[in-house]
Amino acid sequence: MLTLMGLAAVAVCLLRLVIDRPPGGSLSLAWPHPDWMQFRLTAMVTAVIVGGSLALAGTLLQTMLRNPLASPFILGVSSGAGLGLMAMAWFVYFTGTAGATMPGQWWPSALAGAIGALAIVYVLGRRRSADGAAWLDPVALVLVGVVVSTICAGGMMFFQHLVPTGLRGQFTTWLMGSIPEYVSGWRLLFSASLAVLSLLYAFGQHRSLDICLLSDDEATSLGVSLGSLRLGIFLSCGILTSLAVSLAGPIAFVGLIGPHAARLLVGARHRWLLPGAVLCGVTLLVGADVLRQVIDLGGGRMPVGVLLTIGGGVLFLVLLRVEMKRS
Amino acid sequence: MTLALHSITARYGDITAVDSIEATASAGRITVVVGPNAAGKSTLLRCAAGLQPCDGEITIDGEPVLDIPIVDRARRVAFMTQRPRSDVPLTVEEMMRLARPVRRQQTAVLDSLLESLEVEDLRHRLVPALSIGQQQRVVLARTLYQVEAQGGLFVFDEPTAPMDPRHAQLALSHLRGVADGGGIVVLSIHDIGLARSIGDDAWLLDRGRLLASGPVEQVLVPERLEGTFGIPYEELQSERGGIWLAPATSRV
Repeated sequence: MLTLMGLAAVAVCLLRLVIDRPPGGSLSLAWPHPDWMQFRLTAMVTAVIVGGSLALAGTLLQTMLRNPLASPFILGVSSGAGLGLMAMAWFVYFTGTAGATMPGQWWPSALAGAIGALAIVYVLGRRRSADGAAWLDPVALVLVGVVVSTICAGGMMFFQHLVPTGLRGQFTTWLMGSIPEYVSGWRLLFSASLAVLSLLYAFGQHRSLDICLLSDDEATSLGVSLGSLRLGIFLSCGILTSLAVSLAGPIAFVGLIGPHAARLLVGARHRWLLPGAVLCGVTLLVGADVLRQVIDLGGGRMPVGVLLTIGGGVLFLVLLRVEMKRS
Repeated sequence: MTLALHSITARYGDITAVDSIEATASAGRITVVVGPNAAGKSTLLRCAAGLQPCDGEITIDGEPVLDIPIVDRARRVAFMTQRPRSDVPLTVEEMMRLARPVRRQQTAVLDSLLESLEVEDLRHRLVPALSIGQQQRVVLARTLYQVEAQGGLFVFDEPTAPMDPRHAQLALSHLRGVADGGGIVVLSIHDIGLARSIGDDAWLLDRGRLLASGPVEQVLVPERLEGTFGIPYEELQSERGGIWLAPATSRV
């Protein structure tokens, strides 16, 4: 099954390279002219990194928080990363230290925002039962996540408000979530390296992650050191989400649908689930980027974030229904 | 081999759940932990398994439990929680295999446990699709699979609570097997009759304090139980020669 999923991901990536629709023109499939190849290749590689990172982060969050609704977007991790970036972009504009520029360039500030949001959600979503066992309240977790996400979104609007109109328009486009066609090679290499390292770290923990599906007491009794594992996994989630947000803005549903689709296809054991979720995330985001080349509503190409927020939501409801019937 | 609890005190904020408990449990014997709700049974068992921070010291043959590295501890101490997670999206067999790393898997032992606890035909079913009693038997099988009986400490928090009487007897017979195999077995249980019939030793708790410990026939006696639970108990002589304890109440 993983091989089939890998082939699907490769197919959709190739499609992203060859699909072509000039403004006002018709749709065609052709190997791009060398002048355009770099842009398409950059967009495709960026979508691979972003889609894979978000789906991996979503899988890890769902496991560590034992909550099927956990995802970087719903828990406010993406918004935290976005707030970090916007705050830094505003700071740079305000102090004039590097000229006005787009928020995606300051990855460390995104990382700080993502980890800060995750820490707040984790601490406030934790409960202790009468016999002393600690547990994560799934409802409280999602509610806290939604509130943190809303607060961070408010913070982003605040910084948007503080910059001049032209820059505000750029911020708005970035906030919709879009795959850029120009990113420096070094930045892509850096992002891909961190994403791969995070995947390798998580894969190395696949048995511990399986055990983490149980309660804290059961996991500790089975030999998993939860404190250090949580630290490592949450740090990985922060890195993956901040990479994705700094490259493409906050993109919804990939981190939620990717893990659920992979779980339906390869099961819940992390040995298969982790690579499966990455492949699903890649297929989903690159596929959405392909789809937006096809859709022509007369107002230019739709940002992929808009397409995913609408289509992803519906797809998630379908997947939820399938999974409920299955269990 | 002996499990020894020295001056164990555990608190949640201002509440002292377990207060200065001194107790021992020996290999080859089953120790039942009995007491009313909120007596501190679960907290004490979590302390004994090294899962709950507490004052005092817990040792196995003189070695502090918390000094054993967590991976090694998982090979020597098994704990069955009162509330295992029921929504784990794994099959029964996958759940069982979590108990041991790949290099320690013994399929024959695993198969034997699934068969003897009557969950063999469920091995490819997802755990959330099972009844609560079936899930409890799967978790019991996993706990027994985790640690070799000889030299192991097995701590069970109300393992038979959701089981029907036949499966509860089946489960308890497995615990007897573990004790006979050289393991230390400590379990909490609310059914005083079962506690008296399965236990060799008993710890009687109330409001965090140890009221009595020792052989069950000395600890679980009607006068002491009435003082602890507030209802009269009577000893019944079974036709097979055993002693059964039951509440001596009129029809409710």
